[in-house]
Amino acid sequence: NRSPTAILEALASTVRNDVNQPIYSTIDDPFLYSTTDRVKKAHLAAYESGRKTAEHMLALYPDYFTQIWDDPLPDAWKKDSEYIYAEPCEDALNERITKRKVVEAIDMYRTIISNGEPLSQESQEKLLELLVVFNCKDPVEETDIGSYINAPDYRAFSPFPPCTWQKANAAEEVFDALPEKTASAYCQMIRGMSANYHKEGVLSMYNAMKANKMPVDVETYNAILKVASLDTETIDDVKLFVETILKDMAANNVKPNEKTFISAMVNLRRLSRWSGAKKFVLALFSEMKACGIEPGLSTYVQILHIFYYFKDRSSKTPELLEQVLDDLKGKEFECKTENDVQFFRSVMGMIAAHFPDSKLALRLHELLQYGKNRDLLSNRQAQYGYYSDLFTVIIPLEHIDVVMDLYKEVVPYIFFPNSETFKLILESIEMHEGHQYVSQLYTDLQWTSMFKDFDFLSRFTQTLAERKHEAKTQNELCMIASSLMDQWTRKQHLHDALPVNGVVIGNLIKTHLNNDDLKTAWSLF
Amino acid sequence: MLRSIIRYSSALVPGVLVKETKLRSLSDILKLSSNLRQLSLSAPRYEDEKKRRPRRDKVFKEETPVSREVQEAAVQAAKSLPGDWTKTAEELLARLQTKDAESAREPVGDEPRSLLSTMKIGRAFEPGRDSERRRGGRKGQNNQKDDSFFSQSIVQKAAVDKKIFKERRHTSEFKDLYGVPRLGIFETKKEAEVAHDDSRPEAAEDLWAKVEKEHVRRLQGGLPRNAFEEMIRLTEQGKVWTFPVDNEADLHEERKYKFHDHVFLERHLGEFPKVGPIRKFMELVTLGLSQNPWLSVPEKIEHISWFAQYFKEKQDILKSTLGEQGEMKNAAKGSEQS
Repeated sequence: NRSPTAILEALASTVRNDVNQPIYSTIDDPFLYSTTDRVKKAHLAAYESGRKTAEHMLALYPDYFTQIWDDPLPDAWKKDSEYIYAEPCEDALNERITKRKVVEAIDMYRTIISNGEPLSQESQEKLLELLVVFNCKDPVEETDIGSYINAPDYRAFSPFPPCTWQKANAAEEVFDALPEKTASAYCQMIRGMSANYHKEGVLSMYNAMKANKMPVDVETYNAILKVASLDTETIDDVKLFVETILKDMAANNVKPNEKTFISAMVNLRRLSRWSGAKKFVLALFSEMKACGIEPGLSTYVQILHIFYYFKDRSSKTPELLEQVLDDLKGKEFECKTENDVQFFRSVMGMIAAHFPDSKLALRLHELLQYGKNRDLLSNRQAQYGYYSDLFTVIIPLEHIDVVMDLYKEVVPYIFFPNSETFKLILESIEMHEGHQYVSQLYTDLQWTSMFKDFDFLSRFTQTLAERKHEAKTQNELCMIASSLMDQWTRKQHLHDALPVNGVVIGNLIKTHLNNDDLKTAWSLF
Repeated sequence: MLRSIIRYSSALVPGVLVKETKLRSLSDILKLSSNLRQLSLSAPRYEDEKKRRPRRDKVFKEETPVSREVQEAAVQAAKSLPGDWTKTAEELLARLQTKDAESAREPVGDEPRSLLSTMKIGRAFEPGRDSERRRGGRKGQNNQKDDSFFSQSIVQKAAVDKKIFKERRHTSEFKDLYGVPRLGIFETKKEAEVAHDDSRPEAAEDLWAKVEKEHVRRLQGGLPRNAFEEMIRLTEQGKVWTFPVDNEADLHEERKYKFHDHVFLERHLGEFPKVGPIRKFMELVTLGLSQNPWLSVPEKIEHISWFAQYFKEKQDILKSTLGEQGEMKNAAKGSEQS
């Protein structure tokens, strides 16, 4: 039995995704191609706000948009606010739960209770589940474009995340009113409280469960482990907590999964500067291996963050990182947890901050290109950070051919370097004498207004004028020089002309002289 | 002019580029500067490192003070240039102090080698380098600077050593990913035997798992990269039919009714007279409706009730022409008049 999108997914897998092409939604209109990070954000935000405005108009003036066909609209196009059951009854409650309307579900529940009608255990547990998952607030919908543009939320990894669980909120109300407090109800409460960093609640619930000898499932244990590091003073406290919980798990024959160890490691990541964290995380890692669980990207992300946090200034050695890269070589990953998403961006940041070694960076890049791993680096900020770090590391150290291969793969549509990176590339070109690439750079630079900056313009023209080259390259450079002059002469009297002055013209003259083109050179003079 | 050339070239190549004619007598400086120029090919990175890690540089500076020869040579070079020679000398010495230890120790009196032999391509970061730098160089290499190294005070050297030892104690312990022994909480044999199956099916249906999946999808933040991915997203939102196209998609209203509701419509004819032309007409209407696949059951019933309404309005004309056969009854739906 296939899923509804199985065929489409199979077709999509045949399409190459690493082509240097503009964003798909803009592909029809060249005017909308976006290159630099700023432009991408602006364009996509405009797209998104246009859509929201249209929805707003529909809501304000529904009369102008009447439906003229007979068949009813499918559910997807209908507005969500119409319910089948409006009267307070159990079905109405269930409907609101399935549609994830948290606030209205709470209201419906309170109405039913005040009416004195009975509710089944199942509905109450479902309501409890809904409330703890969303912490008694309506879920915020974010669209595809919004999630592409906006930065992800990494609050969970801050050292002491604040507790967002309100005392005596609706979830606790429902829980207390449950006729029979089953193990699953307790588990839901624990998971909800842990997701909101309410450590006391978690512990009290867990002790209650232990006192009543209720079975705890593995996800609940994972949730308890997540809050281990809050309100602790030293790593030893954390260690004690984690080991106690793990021993409870072993005693109750609950099999740990990868998430168990990740939850434990997240605590250490929050406190990575405290002594003893590194040893403990490696001990957990060995335990994980011994249990036969295959470590995924998330595990390695935690370990690497503890060892190589990129704001940490003390010296580091790359052996651990190299071992991790060796382990991950030749494996394909898919995005299962939120930590997976961070992997490539953070590791490249670590490489750039601690050991700017181009070989390591290229190994990581190779891992990215294997199979479907590229999907893990789709957020705009992650892509930009990753590639800018990659270029900063590679350009000073690798030969210009390697750099330009990478450049052609990515620029201009996937990543656009800033002016500092371009200056580095120009230096590298001068050093390795790769002037045949200057025309490529010039074409790409037309997307931006970097030439308006005098430093950049003089640097660029200096590369043009550096030495005499063979005929073909020299011709190209001369064409670039003439086009720059054309640009300047056309806009000479406008305020946004290129900042051409003596140095720049001198370089352009030299370029033409190198090409033995005295006439043009003299005309510039 | 010369000064501007120096400054201009030193912005890119922080070595000292001086006109050859002036320096034939200072061949030492020329070779030194050419070595410096070769070094400075990877200069930008060092500049960055300097900015980001001043602490390291301080340790380094303690260990390798510039030798007297070089100092004298620098002063001579500075004096030969126009301008304030003290300043130029300071600049030169500053540059010499911040260059790489190993390359600076290249024997100054040697022939200037080709660019390739001194340039470091590829792996510019060597892991052992930090500790070596602190210890003051590789053991067993011919150190031209041995005299300067030993001229350092013993106390200073001991202090540096202590620092190295402390740091190495912390970082070198954990170089191996599998180095630390396990906690020994879970019994590995037992875990390996127990099968995986129990946790998976629950996890897929759990609200937590679903929300987590959507959250991860959102964090990944990918836009559709081709038409197929766009269609996948639209299908998931329910705006596009699924493939293969399901005949009964969006037919949830129709599922309430069975075929006999569509075909046997005579029970809705309770309001009409049992015999006569009106009855015949309505039977033909029901025949036609039963063969109509496009209308839903409520719509068919609506058709019939429209006719009933119409005939009721024209009741007086019908009664006068048809008599009993024109009389509409006010019976409830589905009841058979006796």
